[in-house]
Amino acid sequence: MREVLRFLGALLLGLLLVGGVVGLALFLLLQGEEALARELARLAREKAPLLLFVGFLFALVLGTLLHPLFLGYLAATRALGQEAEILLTNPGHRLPLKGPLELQALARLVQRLAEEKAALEKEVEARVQEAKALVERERAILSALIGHLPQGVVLANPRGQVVLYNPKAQELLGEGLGAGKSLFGLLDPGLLAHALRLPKERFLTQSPKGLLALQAVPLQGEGGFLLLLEAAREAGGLDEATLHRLKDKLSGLKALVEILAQEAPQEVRPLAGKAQEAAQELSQLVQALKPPPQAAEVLAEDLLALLAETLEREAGVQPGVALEEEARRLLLRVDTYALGQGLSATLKEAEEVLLEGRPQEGFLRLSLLQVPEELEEAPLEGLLYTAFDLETTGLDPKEDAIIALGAVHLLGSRVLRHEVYEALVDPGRPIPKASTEVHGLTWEMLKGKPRLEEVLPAFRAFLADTLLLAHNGAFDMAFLRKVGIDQPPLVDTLLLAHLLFPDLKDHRLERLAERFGVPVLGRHTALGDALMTAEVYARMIPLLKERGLRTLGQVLRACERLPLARLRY
Amino acid sequence: MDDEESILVPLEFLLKKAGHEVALARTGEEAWRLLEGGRFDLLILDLMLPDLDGFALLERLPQGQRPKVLVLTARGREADRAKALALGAEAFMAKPFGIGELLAQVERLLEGA
Repeated sequence: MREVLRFLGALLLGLLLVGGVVGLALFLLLQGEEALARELARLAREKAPLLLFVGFLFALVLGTLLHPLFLGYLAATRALGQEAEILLTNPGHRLPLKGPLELQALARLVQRLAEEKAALEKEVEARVQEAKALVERERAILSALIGHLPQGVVLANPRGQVVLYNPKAQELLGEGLGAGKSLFGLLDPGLLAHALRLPKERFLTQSPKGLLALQAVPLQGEGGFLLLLEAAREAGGLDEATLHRLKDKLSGLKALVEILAQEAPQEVRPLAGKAQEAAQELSQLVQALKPPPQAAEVLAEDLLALLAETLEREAGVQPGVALEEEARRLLLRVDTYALGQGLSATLKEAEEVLLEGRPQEGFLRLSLLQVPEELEEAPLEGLLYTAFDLETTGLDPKEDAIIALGAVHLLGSRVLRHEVYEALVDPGRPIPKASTEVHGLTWEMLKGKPRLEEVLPAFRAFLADTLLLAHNGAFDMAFLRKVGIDQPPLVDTLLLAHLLFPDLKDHRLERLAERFGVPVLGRHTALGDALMTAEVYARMIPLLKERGLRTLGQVLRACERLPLARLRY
Repeated sequence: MDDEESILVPLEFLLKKAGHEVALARTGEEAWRLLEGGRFDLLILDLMLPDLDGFALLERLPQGQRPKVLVLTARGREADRAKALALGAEAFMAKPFGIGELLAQVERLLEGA
């Protein structure tokens, strides 16, 4: 139906096009030729039937030309397309060979391709089945093999998911063990990672069902690993504590028998002698007993590499490692896991650590050095700061003068309230009223106080070797630079407030103090403001850490990105 | 000092017979009280005590008037020996020991005193 409409449309379009062109040509030719036009119109009226016949003949010819195109090729192509679609779901479907010859050839080609595709799919399916059967057979063999092992065996993929396990493993690890489940939920992931690095060693670990001895062997190629498990205390096995009790008791018994052999009356001496011999033999037997080693044997150089790896994984610390040449091949007996965990717990907050190993009478002496780091990398809590504030005669650093200085030391987040500096300075000129309204200081009050040059050396000494901390420090630094004090970097609580509370409208010091519950005392006295700045900063440190800003470098870089940081006085 | 009665009894007998004055302690605390209460020439110390590690006691001994220390232990590993000696013990014997050997060791230590 659609093809019929298209055909009629094309026919109409063809007629209109030809009629239009002829009409337009006549119209243009007859411009200004009224006589000829009239003559032509008359001729047309007289020969109208003939013209109509010619027109009909033209339409017929056009229709004959367009008919096979629309109703033959187009319809047949569409029909072929629909038939070919069926092949996608039913490869056995036969395409009808109808329509123009070219399309019949195309249909035969499509049919052949579909048949070849179906044959290939069948072959692939057969191969997949074959491979599955092989894997199943191998799996069954492996299952049978590990099923009869006295140890618990678990095969896991690289993500720690269980692929295969035997009944003994189920018994040792409990119901939580199942194909596809993660081993990391059942066993300490840190220990597993550690054990994989020492595949020859056994480690004690707590499982849901009790204490286990575990050995983890990485698998070549596949990337998974094999776990070998045993109950930590096999029935009848000898543990270290029992052996010590045995030696203790035997020592006592042996000493008693030896004394009795010496002290006994003559007639029983042979008996006591026998007892002494038996005790002697028994003690030799016991002496030869060795408890199963609880610690791994590891080369010193491997131990240090292992500890460095553990520290990085568990504590996020990348320690430097130094091992003296003659200690490298030292074979050590170490509970590597416990040592690694202990070090990680100790160094949780550490920044730079050096592990140093030296041989000492057959042992390895392991020293732990905390290296003083560059200021940039120093953690915020490890720094000594001077929080300071200035009062001035006005707001223009070029024109105005300093009239009061206040400062306090701060060690990390501990405000050292006994280490303060305070000085009032005679500016040598009147103080504008607007300024006096802020800090309450008049020239009269300051007359007779030392001049700025006199107090600066002590202030400089107070700042020495500390990191400067101020609220809106850019303003204070502009005044200090003028008198030759410039001690970058500077930590600015105003910038930090913008960083921590971007939505807060008011970042003034007293507002922050209220927010942190710091009492607002002595506002707009230099020392009062310095103390408040210190207290506010101390409370900001944990919030900064929460945002991942732990070191001075990180904090300064974050502040630099704030638009406010570009403000200059 | 030992928590094993069967060792304390023969040792006390032996040492007394050899002419020494002997005080016995079964726990670390007891030993500590005795050490604070009087002066001793020799301490025979077991490393594994019920309340206190023998090593810890060794570390706590005052430096000045300290007695000589003979460590007597079932933990006969090299590492224990080295640690005990590093902490200031004068001698180390692994259990089980022979009484002759022990007496010789005691006499040697006391002669040096």
